[in-house]
Formats: sequence, structure tokens, C-alpha cells
Amino acid sequence: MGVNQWDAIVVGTGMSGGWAMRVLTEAGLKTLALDRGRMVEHGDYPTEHKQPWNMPWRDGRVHPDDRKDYPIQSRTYAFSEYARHWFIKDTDAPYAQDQPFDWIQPDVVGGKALIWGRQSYRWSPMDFEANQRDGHGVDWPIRYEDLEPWYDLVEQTIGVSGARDGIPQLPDGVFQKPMDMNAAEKAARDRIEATFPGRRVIIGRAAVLTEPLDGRAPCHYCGPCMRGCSTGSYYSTQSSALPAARATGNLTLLARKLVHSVTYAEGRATGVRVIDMETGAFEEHTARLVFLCASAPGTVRIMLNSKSPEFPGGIANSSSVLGHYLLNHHARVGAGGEMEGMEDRYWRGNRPNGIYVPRFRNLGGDRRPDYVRGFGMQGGASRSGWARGGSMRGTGAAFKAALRVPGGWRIGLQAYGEVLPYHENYMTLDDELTDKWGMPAVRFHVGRFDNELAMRKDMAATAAEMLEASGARNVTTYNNAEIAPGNTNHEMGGARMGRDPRTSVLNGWNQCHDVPNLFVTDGACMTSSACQNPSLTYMALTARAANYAIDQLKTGTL
Amino acid sequence: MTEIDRRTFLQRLAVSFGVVLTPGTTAAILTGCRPDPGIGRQFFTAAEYLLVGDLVERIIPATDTPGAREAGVPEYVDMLLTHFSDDQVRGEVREQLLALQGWLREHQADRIEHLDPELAETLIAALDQEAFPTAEDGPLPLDGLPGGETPLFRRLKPWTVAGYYTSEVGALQELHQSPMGVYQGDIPFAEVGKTWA
Repeated sequence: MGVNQWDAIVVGTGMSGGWAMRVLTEAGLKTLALDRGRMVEHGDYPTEHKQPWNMPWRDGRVHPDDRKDYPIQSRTYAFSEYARHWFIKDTDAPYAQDQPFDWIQPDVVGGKALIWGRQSYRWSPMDFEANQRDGHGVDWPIRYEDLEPWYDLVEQTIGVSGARDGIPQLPDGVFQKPMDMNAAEKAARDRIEATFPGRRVIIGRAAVLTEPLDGRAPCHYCGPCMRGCSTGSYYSTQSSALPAARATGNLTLLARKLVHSVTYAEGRATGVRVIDMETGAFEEHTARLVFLCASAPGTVRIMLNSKSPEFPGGIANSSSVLGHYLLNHHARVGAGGEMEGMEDRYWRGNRPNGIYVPRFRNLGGDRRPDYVRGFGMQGGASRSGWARGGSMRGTGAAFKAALRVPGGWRIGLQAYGEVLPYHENYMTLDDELTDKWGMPAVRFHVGRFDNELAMRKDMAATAAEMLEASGARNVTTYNNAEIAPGNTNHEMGGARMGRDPRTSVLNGWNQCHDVPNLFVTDGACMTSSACQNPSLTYMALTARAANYAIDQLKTGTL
Repeated sequence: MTEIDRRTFLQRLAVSFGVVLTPGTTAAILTGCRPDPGIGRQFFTAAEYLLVGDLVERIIPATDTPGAREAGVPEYVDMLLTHFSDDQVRGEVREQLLALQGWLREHQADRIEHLDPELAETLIAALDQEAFPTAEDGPLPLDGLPGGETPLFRRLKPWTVAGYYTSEVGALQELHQSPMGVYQGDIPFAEVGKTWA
């Protein structure tokens, strides 16, 4: 092979790209992985275990001057001085917004797998059938059974802690032992489940180890995973996929390479055109297989920018749906309250996980007249600590002594709702705006519609009703509908899977209908959003697609 | 130039050039150029720094563990005002500290510590009541407090609390940190004994 010739190219090294490079290299393919972000080696986590008083502005506060460089990234929960170095500098990579859309992007090898929330839930048969049942969006070309063995593989490989809860709409997986609930969470669970048959409160299922796995240590419960974990206790590209792929001797990983487009000739992707972000020079790499795993908007941007006489509107876009049917989850709606009693109970350790309420709406006998689909809830309880002193009356030794004892319990539930596939939620390339490297910028056109708005009212009311049933007092709701779509980090769609090449970009193997050796396995492939955190499904889809591609290469079909 | 001198200078400047000084521009000029980042006294004058030290020490005093002054809270508050506050907040806090200095002088004291101990207690209680009133409160026990739309302690209290408990003294001596390596979700508080930092 020549210098820039490969068996496979993987664009992006995050949640999906990590799995693509692992599976392809383990099958013996000489694989080039490209990332626009800088290299971060495992253990290169400069703020891990840093104490607040060792930080320049104390406890992660972001200086106003730095915030100017990160106006969008600084809106995500994970952004602080402890994690700022993982995120893209917005001023280098602007994008246009017809309506506000928060595109949260890391700028490091490992991508969002380095900073993700680690919640890991399978989809259920219901989720793959939803489009066909209610007619919103096209039918998924696969069903739960197609993905089930790949969920098994992914869970065993990355390590997911959780309880086997026996909930049909949230299938159990291959779990390590679950983390504990605290006193208030257990009390709330018992009361909520007794009050509302069909509603369950479970410990979160998290890609955080509670048992050793492949040289990775169980969690030591320091708390803030998004700073990086040198014991590899949560799944990341660095802790798991990258060492596995490197061990094969088949991986070449190049950082700071911005993929400009997929090159195309005679019905096939021939490789990628790349901008070296240090020199600005263009490079060409060729391969027999190309996997796009650059995040939903990132992948669609590359595809739209891959123009040829056959595909003037972007590669594999004979359907003209490329860029359309963008999905996300809508959140920032829920309730909080105070739990009385249990003041003789406390915890030890910082649990990087919460409690979860699986979807219960619009299934079984629980039908809503005002919206379709549903939502899940993430939450947790804790006792207030010293911070309550900031708004407390009192001074002196008595004040200090009062804060030496924790305050009462508080509990909160935040809902994450499914967003329907809409043709009018789309992205294009902007006509004028480019990034620092001259690549056309994305223009987002994403709104919320009646189904989501009706669901949000129910999300807030339901969270409050459940907290009241749990015994909480002074329950208050919030519904921050003004927070832009995208802020939940779960951007999906734009190159959806489907059965019909006229209405979808990808087939049931994440393979472009139009270009058989081009695969898209990140969030862009999603045909509907369900309400579960999507990363586990991206990983299972990627593992499945990569194995399929390898089989097709072996049989000579590709 | 001392604070009062600078203020006088600015007023003369305003008169001589017909400049209208808003509280914001006054505060900006009083603050001077933006100092280098880092913790240290950059916003406060020496007198203000002493006064703030006395106030935060009254909020969280030395007991069997060090108090707010030793934990570096005055420097922390200075850092917040220097880097994380706007001109309006800086101006209001400075006005309030000036007013408090004036109140002390009226009571023949340079510092709170020089007041009659009972009067000092009453002063702190009044500043606290002004910022965090309750329905049971009577009228403020003292006249001539700094006042303002956002009373001094409404800002200084949370700043003191955050500065103290995110300091090494506050987190490791006064409170304690959860040890690494274990998570137990539901244990008796008696096994832990005090708030986790």
C-alpha cells in the first residue's frame, strides 16, 4: 500500500469512531483514524483530582474573558475551568443558527466519549417500532432483535453497572453490580412505585465500572468523571477502544486533521480529503471502506461538502433528505423538593450516577391524548451541604457549627423527552460562513413543535406529582423551554436509516444506499430519537455495521 | 493615592471638564487598570482589606479550626470583585464599605474590633438582618448602616461561605472530604460525623 492508502478510514474517534476503529483493526484491516481534535493520551488529564484551591479561580469558575471564547460550549453542564480544555473554541469554529441551537462539541481525540454523562440504556422493541406505529418518520429498517447481541457485546466490553430491573420498555443488559441508592432515593422509590403502578425508580445504568475489567479499575468515587479518569473506570476511547485498537498494530491515528470531504468515483467512496489543521495543507487518503463517526452535525457537514457530478447536493444524497430530520432530546424540565426526616442517614463517596425513571407514558394502559411517544427522567437526592450557608441567617461560631452538620434532603427529577422526526428540522452548509480552516460552516434550522411542547407540560407536572407522592415538600417545577435545542448533547439524525432509498440515506447496516462502501454509524444515522441516552445504541450500531462491512469485504461483495 | 484622595481628584476632574461621572465609570476609574490575574489584594485598599477581613471573620470565626481570615477569604473576595464582578457591583460594594468606615468613625472606632464588644455584635447582627430579614424581625437595631438595594451581607455572606469551604482550611480542617475508593449510599450519619466538603 502507498503512504496514504488504507483498508479503512474512520472519521472521528469518539463514541462511535472508537468502536469502528476497534472492530476494524481487530479484524486485521489497516485503519486510519482521523480526528479534528488534539491528541489526548490516557492519563493526560491535567485537572483530575485537582482541589478547588489549586485552581486559578477557585473551584472551576470560568473567567469572563475565557467565556468569550466559548459562548456556546460554556452553556453545557460539563463545562468549567476543570474541563474547558476538552471543548472546541467557538470563535474558531462558528456556525449559523436560523433559530438558537447549542452544538456542544469537544475538540480532542476521544470526543464526547471523554466527557459524556455515561448513562447507558438499551432501546426496547417499542422504540424501533414507534415510527411505523404512529406514522411519524419512516420505519426503522432494523428491530431490537437485530441489535440485541451487539448491545450484549458493547456492555461486556465497556462495562456497564446497573440492576436487572425486568422492565420491558428498558431491557436489562449484561451488567456489573449496581451502585447504591441513598436513603432518600430509596424512600422516594418505595413511595412512588406504591402510588403509581407502572412507574419504576431504578439506579442509573452507567458505563462506570463497579468491578475490574480488562485492566481497568473499578470506580474510586472521586466524582467528576468529565475531568478524565486515569484508572480508566469509566468507558472512554482512551481507556478502552484506543489501547485495544493499538494493540493490533493496525491503527494509525492522526489528530488535528479536519476532514473536508469524502472523495468519490464510479459508485464508490475512494477516501477522504483532509485539511491539516496546523499547516492548512490538503491531504488525500484512500481506502476500501470509509466510516463517518464525526458526530451527527459533523458527519452531515462532511457529506454535504462532498460534492461530485453524481451528487451535487452531497454524497449519497439521491434522496435529498441528507441534513433533514435532525433529532435531539428536550430536557431542562422537571421538579425539585425537600424530603423531611432521615437526618440520621448520610453517604460516603461521590457517586457518578443518579436514579432513573424509565418511560411510562403512551405504553400499556397509560395513554396521552395530547402527545405521542414519551420521556424518561434522571434524578437524585442529596443532603444540602455548606453552600446553604450563603443564603442562611446567622454569623459566628453558631453559624459555623450549623454548617458542620449537613442540611435536609433535597430530591430532583429532570425529564428527557423524545423529539419527533421533522423534515423542517434540518442543517445545511452556510453560503458564506467558514471556520478558521476555510471549511463551510453549518447552518442549523431546528425548532420545537406542538408534540414536544405538550409533552413538556406533562413532564413538569408528572415530575411534581411523583415527588409529592415521594413525600417531598415545597415541590417546585421548572420548564426552561428557552434553553436551545442541542443543549442536551444528544444531537441525532441528518442521515437517517430507512428501508427506502428515496426517503433515507442509510440502509439497515448503516451503509449508504447510494455508496455501498460508505458507512455512517454515529448519531446521524438515527431514524427516531427515543428518550434514552443514545450513546450505547450508537456503539451497538457501530459494532454491528463494522462487522457487516468486514464480512462483505471477505466475501468480495464490497 | 488614597481612596478619598482619588475620589476628590475625580470630582475636581469632573467639575473642571464638565464630565458626568456615573457610579460605573467612577468605580472603573477607582479600580484602575485591570490587575494581573491571581489571588492577592488587587481591588481593596489597605483599609478596605482590613475591614473586610474583620467582617468575614465575624461571619466564620476561628474556633477549634481557623476562621475566614486565615483561610484567605479576604483575598478570595478581592479576586471575585477584581475578575468576576461588573463595575456596578464593584461600585456598590465600595460605597457600602466606605459608609461602614464612616459609621465606625462616628462611633470613635477605626475597626470593628475597637468597638465595645456588645456594639460590635449588634452591628454584625444588624448587617445580617438587613441582608436576610425574616418575618419575626423587629426594626434594625442600629441606624446609619450602609443599606443599598443589595445589602452588603447578601453578597459578602455567600462569598465568605464559598471562599472558606473551598479553601484547604475549610475543606480539610473544618469539614472533611469523602475518601476515595468507596461508595456507600446509605449509612448512619454518626459514622461520618460532619458535612462532606
